[in-house]
Amino acid sequence: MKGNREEEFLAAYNEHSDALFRHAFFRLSDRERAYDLTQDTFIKAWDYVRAGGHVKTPKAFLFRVLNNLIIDEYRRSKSESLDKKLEDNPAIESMFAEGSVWEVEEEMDERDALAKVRGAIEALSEEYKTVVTLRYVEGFSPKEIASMLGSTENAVSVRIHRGVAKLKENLAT
Amino acid sequence: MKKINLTEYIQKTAQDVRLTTDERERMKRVLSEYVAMKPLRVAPLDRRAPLSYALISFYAFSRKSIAGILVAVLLFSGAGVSFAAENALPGDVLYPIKVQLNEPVVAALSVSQESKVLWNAERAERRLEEAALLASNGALTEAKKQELEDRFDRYAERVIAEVEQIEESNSSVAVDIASQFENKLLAHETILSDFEAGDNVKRLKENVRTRVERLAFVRERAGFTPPPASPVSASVAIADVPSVSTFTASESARALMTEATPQPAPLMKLETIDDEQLSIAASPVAEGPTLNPDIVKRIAHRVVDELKESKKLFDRYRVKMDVETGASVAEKIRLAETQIAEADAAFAAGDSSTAFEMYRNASASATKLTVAMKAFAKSKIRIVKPLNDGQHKTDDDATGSDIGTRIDDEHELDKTSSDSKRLSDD
Repeated sequence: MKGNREEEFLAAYNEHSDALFRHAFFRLSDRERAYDLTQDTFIKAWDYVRAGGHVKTPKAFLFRVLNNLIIDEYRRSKSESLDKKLEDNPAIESMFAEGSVWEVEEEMDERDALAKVRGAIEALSEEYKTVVTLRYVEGFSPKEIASMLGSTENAVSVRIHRGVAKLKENLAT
Repeated sequence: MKKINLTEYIQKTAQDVRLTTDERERMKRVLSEYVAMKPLRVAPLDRRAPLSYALISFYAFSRKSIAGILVAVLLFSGAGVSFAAENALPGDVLYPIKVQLNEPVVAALSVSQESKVLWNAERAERRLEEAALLASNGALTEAKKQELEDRFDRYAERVIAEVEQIEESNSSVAVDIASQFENKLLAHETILSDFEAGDNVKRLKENVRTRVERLAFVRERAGFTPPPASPVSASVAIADVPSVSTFTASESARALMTEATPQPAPLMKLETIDDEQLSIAASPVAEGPTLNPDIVKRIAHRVVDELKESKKLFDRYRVKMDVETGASVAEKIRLAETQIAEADAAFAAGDSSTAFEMYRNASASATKLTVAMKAFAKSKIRIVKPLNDGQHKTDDDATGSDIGTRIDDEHELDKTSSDSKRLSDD
C-alpha cells in the first residue's frame, strides 16, 4: 500500500513532468524558474497526499498546483494586479469571427512560422497565455481548465477565444 | 497567402520544449529523496501498532464518514479531543475515537499479559457503564444496545479466554483477575437491574450473568485443588442458575454450612442473606479442598487496593451525596476495613480458606461501592442508595450461620427502583 503510493507518485512524475515543465516555461519564459516550479509542484503534491489528501486525476491536480505556484511567482515579480490585466482590449472582439485560422505568406516556412507563433504566445498577457497553452498545448478541456483555475467553463471558453484572437493580433503586427 | 490552423501551430511550438534528460534525472532524484525523507504514514490497523500508526489508520478508516471534521479537530486539538472522547457514549461524534482510537492505543501499550487482560476487562466494563448511562437517559436505542452487547461480549470473551490461558501457568493470577472481573460484573449487573423494566437491558444483563458464572467457574477451578473423592466440594460460586451443574456444588456446600457446620462467630455481615440466592460459601473444614496461600496473599493485596479506590471516590463524591447515603457508604467502607482486618487475622491463624472468603467478600463490597460511586458520578439520577440495602438489618440478622456477604440483586432492584421513583417525583 505504502509502496504503491510512492510508485504512483514517481510514475506521475515520469508521465507529467514534461508537460508541467513546458507549461511553466510558456508561462514564465524562464527555463530555470520553470524547472524549479515543476519540482515544487511535485513536492507540494506529495505533501498533500501525505497529509491524507486524495487525488482523483493526477494530471489536472498537478497543473492546478503548478498554476497556483505560477500565480504566486507573478505576484512576487509584478506589482501590477492580475485583475487589471484581465481588462479586455475591445479590438480583439472584432477578430472573433475569424476563428483560429491564421493567414501567412506563401513563402513562410514552418520554422519561421513556429518561431513567430512562440513569440506571439510569449507576448500574450498572463491570463490568455494560461488558458491558451492549457487548452492547445496540454489539451485540457475548458471544463478541466475551469476547475484548475477555479473559474467557470464559460468564462474559460471565452477567455480561450479571446486569447487566440489576441494571438492572431500579435501575429498580424 | 496560405491559411494555417493556428492552434495546431501553438501545439507544435511546444513540442520541443521539455526537460533535458539530465534535468529529468536530477529532479527525479530530488523527489525520490523527498519521498524517502517524508514517507507516508499509512499502515493497516494493527492492535500492536505504535501510536502514530493507529492514529493514521484511524484517519483512513473515518475518511468517508465523519472524516473532515474529526481529522481537523484531532489535528488541531490533539490530545484534548482524545481526552474529551473518553466520556463519549454510543451515538456521539467522539464515540468512535473512544473505542477505535483511545482504547486500542491503551491496548497496544499494555505489555504484560495481565495488563492486557485487565484492559480488556475494563473495556467490557465500560460498555456496561455506557449502557447504564444511556438507559438512564432513555437513549438506549436498539442499535446502540446491539453495539454495546457485541462489544461487551467480545471483550468479556477475551478476558475469559485469557484468564484460562493464564490459569495454566499461574493459577493465583488467574483467580485474582477472574475474581476482580467477576465482582465488577456483579456490581454492574446490579446497576443494570434498574433498567430491566421494559426488557431494555435484559439481554445485556443475561450476557453479564453468563460471564459471571463462567468466571466463577474458572476462579473456583484455579483456586482450589479438589480433594480426592470428597463428596462435598466447597464452592465459591454465584448460584443463580441451578441448571448449571457446576453450581449445584455450592448449593450443597451452602446446605452443609448452614445446617451442619458450626461457625465460630458472626464475623462480618454487610447485607442480608437471601437463602435462595446464596452466593458465597466456603468450607474451612479440614477435609475440604486446599487453597493455594499465594492466592490468598494476592487477594489480600488486591482488596486493600480496591478499598483505597473506594475511599478515594468517596472523598471526591461525598459532597454530592445526601447525608443518609454518605453515612451508609462510610459505614460500608468501615465494615470492609473490619472485614479485611479479620481476614488478616484468619490468615495469620492459618485458616487460609476462611481468610480467602473474607477477602473476597470485602473485595466484592469494595468493588460494588466503587462501581456504584462511578455510576453515581456520571449520572445524576443514579445514587448509591441501593448500597444501603440491608444495612440496618445487619445487626439483627447476624446470627452467625454464614461467613461474609453477597450480592443481593433482587433486594437492590426493589430499593433502587423506589429510589429512582422518589427522585423523579422530586
